[in-house]
Amino acid sequence: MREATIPPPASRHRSVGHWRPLRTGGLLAVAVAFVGWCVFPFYIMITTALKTDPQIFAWPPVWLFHPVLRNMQNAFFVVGGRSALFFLMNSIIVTAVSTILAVLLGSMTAYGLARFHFPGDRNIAFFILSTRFAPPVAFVIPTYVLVERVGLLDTRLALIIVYTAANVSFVTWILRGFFVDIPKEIEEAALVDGYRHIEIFWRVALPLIKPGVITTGILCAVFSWNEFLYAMILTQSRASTLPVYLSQFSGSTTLVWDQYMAVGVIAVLPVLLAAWWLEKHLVRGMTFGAVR
Amino acid sequence: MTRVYLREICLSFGRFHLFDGLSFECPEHAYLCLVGPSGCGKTTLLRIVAGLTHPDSGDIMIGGARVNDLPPWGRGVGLAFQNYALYPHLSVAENLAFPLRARTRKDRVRGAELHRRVRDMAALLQIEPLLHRSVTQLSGGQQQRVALGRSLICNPRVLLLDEPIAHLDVRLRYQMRLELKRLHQRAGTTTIQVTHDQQEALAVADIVAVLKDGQLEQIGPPLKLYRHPATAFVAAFIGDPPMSILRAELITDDGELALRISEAVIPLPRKFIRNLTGARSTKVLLGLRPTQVALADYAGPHTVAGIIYSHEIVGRQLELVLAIGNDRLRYRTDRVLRVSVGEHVNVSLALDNARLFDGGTGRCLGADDDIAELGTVETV
Amino acid sequence: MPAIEFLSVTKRYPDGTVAVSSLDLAIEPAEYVCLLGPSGCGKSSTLRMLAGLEEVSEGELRLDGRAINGLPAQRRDMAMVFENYALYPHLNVFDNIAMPLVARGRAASEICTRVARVAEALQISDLLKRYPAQLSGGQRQRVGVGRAIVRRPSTFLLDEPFGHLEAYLRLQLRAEFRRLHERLGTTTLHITHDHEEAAAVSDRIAVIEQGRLQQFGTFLELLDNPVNRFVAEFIGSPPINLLPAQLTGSENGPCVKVGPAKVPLPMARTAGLSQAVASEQLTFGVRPEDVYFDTQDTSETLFGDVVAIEPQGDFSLITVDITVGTIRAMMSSTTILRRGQRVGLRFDVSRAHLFAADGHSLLVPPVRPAGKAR
Repeated sequence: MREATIPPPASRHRSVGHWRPLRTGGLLAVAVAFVGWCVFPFYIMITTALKTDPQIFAWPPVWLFHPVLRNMQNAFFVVGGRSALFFLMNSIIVTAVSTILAVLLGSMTAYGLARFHFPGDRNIAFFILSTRFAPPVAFVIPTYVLVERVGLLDTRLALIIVYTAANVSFVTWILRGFFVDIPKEIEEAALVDGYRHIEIFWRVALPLIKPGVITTGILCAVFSWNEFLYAMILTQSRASTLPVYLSQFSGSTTLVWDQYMAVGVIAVLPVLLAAWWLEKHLVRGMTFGAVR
Repeated sequence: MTRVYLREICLSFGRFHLFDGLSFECPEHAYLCLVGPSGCGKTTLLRIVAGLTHPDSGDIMIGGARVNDLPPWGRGVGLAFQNYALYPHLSVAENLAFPLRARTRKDRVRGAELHRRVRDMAALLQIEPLLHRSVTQLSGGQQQRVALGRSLICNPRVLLLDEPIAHLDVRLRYQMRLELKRLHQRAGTTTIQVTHDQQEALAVADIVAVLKDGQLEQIGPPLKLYRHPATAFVAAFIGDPPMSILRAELITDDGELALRISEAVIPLPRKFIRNLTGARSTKVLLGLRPTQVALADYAGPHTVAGIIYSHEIVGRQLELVLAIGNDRLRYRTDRVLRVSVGEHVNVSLALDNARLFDGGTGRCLGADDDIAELGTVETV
Repeated sequence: MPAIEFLSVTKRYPDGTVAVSSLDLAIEPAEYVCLLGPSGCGKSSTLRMLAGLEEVSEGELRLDGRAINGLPAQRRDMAMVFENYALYPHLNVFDNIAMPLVARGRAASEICTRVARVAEALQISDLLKRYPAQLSGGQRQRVGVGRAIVRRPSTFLLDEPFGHLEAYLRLQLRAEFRRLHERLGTTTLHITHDHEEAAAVSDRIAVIEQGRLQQFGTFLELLDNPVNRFVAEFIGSPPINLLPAQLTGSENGPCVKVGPAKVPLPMARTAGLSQAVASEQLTFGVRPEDVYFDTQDTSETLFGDVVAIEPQGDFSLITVDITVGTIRAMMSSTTILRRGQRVGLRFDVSRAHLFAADGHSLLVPPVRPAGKAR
């Protein structure tokens, strides 16, 4: 007895509809173009840093060449004046210290706001967020005056303080969300087990949001590393960071492309590494779920 | 001394009063179960004893001392949470060791002694092979044991269990009931357990306390609550099978006392007369077990008209829920019947061992020796 | 003609796991069938294949005789009730229930009357203006059911609808679902891991384990005649007692040796027993309600010490420790027993079971009274 059957789908497997070469190829072409457009500047920068002068200016462009490390060496160890190494150290110190401070202070603030309810806690939380609303350039002059009066112009400490202040609000806002997501019962269990609130913060809450802390830390570090405006204004020579050093290249009458690009590579490499590592942690850490 | 005694506890959330002068006591070494429908305040009461929730007023006494101002760890209690609340970033062994490492503990242990106690606890709960696993990889039953171990490892004065076996499957639940009892028999720790499953409460507890809307309905040994429920709510909530409650009116019929139940008049056995001296109105509630109910072929002096509301299989028996007026009456039989919803039937009621409750307060109407006390409160 | 048919249906996931393995099931029109099994057994996948939310890897799915393997979900005329209600939080109760009708472009007046009727049937008429956030779990579940009913589909699919509700709420809603089913007569497939729930609501139960159908029948059939050890263990509250046993003989016929006792087997039930199993390690299964206390010391009595007494109301559950394991027995709560007391146990062998090493049942099923309860 044959019953009328509904025609089966085109494929027994996943029904994605009919495969159309034109549509898929077109999408692929757009994707390649977009990725190429993003990656191309990096390509140019890296290859220029590794080329000799004639190769840099050759037209048609030289695609295959023997990389030369001279530019990189010059950038690091140039004689007379400060080398990129000096500014690199400044960047590293300022970034590291400001990030650690921001995460430390921000996480404690976030925990306080997440777990303890007191009059005005929501207002304070919003106020902290609101400090990020205004464009940073609006505060440049007041900040300069402040720093100058205190006698901290052209010091790393000034930059550290400014960056920490900027990052703390970001860290607080993000980590507060993470803390709120921790099931209250876990912390209550710790209370019953014999731990005071500050101990619970260090031993239970913070470890549980480790992926959030790492992510936030990396984002703060990237921000501090790339920050240009305040570094430019508040430092001159002793405390300048890499972005400031980079800007000096483009101000001169002749553009020393090879060294410029070499320093550029040094400046960008840590951020690229951070981005790669961030992705790994983002994927792994976000699957932490409450024990049920 | 590990007696737990709550006196005159008051707690409100905004305009909602949860507890209004609630007092109750758990004797030393007793296993007490707090049962009740959701919203009755049983978990809140447990948290008040633990120190995680603070009452607006009232005293919390553990072992004769007032502990209101002590933080949770200072009260000597162990708490096993409903959702286990294990530390996800630690292994099983570290979860068990965590309480022992707390700086606030006077009997803080370290090193070899700590490891020994962790191993002993794991052996007691049969989770030794799991000691080095992360808790997130465990099954529900295993996590529950770790939670139990964590609450016991510091030898608490009072053990508080919040729905410890609610999330386990049926077979595991029966097994864990025996385990909990075994642990209690071994250590003799005063235990207070919260559950919404009255079967569980009857099975494990020495004393059962029934809570409803923040009020203690009855407190006493399990069979006492089953055989002599103090209120209509307890009668309808506790036991398998629970009582069915029918609304009735006391009337006199030819000089004899009778009950009017949904247009039928059924004579009341004489022995009930002395129970009714305390009755304040003619409205009463009649409590009947399924064994006191039968289906009759014809209407008669002891029958009332009913409609079949639903039917289901319970174990090997057929259970019929009959609608008598707006009330529901449960009937169970081993016989195999063909029934359909909406069918009209005649139901015969045997009132000899029925129970009467006041229609307004729900309290049992009975002789003094028959009424169970509410919340035995001794003066401290 | 069956309303729903699974013909050797298999579900294989991309990572290789086989959730459902060669399932053959036929559900009659207006029948209420429960898919029962532990979590991860494949019942959810089966339901989702029927709903059209998952692809069928192999086999054929038929609705009223028509194969529907490739039919999109919205064309199957089925309604689903989810475990976590899945209500639209931004719509009130009325709009939630009306949603399926609105989606199909029904007239406003028709929508009003149908929603009102459904609300009345589920006793939520006074909640129509509220929002899901203001409702209790039981109320939300009723709204979920209302949304499914209002369309009058040909099939209801219920995915652990009582999963998040409390014990007594579950009891209440079970009775209501049953009543609703009698009124509407819609074919229903209900999945659950709670066998008491399955017993209460369904006409027949399909027990599934690791993707395979173990047994399909009424609750009493499963209770009295489990085809294997898994079904016997899964069905029945309190759970069945399982003890290691060996086949042996005596002057009165075949016996089972359980610990030191020799329990005679009724001749009528030993018809299928072959000699091959004589040397195997078997499992003897007897339900707590079929265990009796006996003071006489006969060869069939097992002695042990009382370990626990759990009152339940009219009866109590007694756990007795015998050398080869523990046995649960039901006893009237009027009898007084003490912990540690030594007692003797006897079994009602007409209802007992014997399982081979691979789990399948060896004895002929016990005789049941004629007629069915439902």
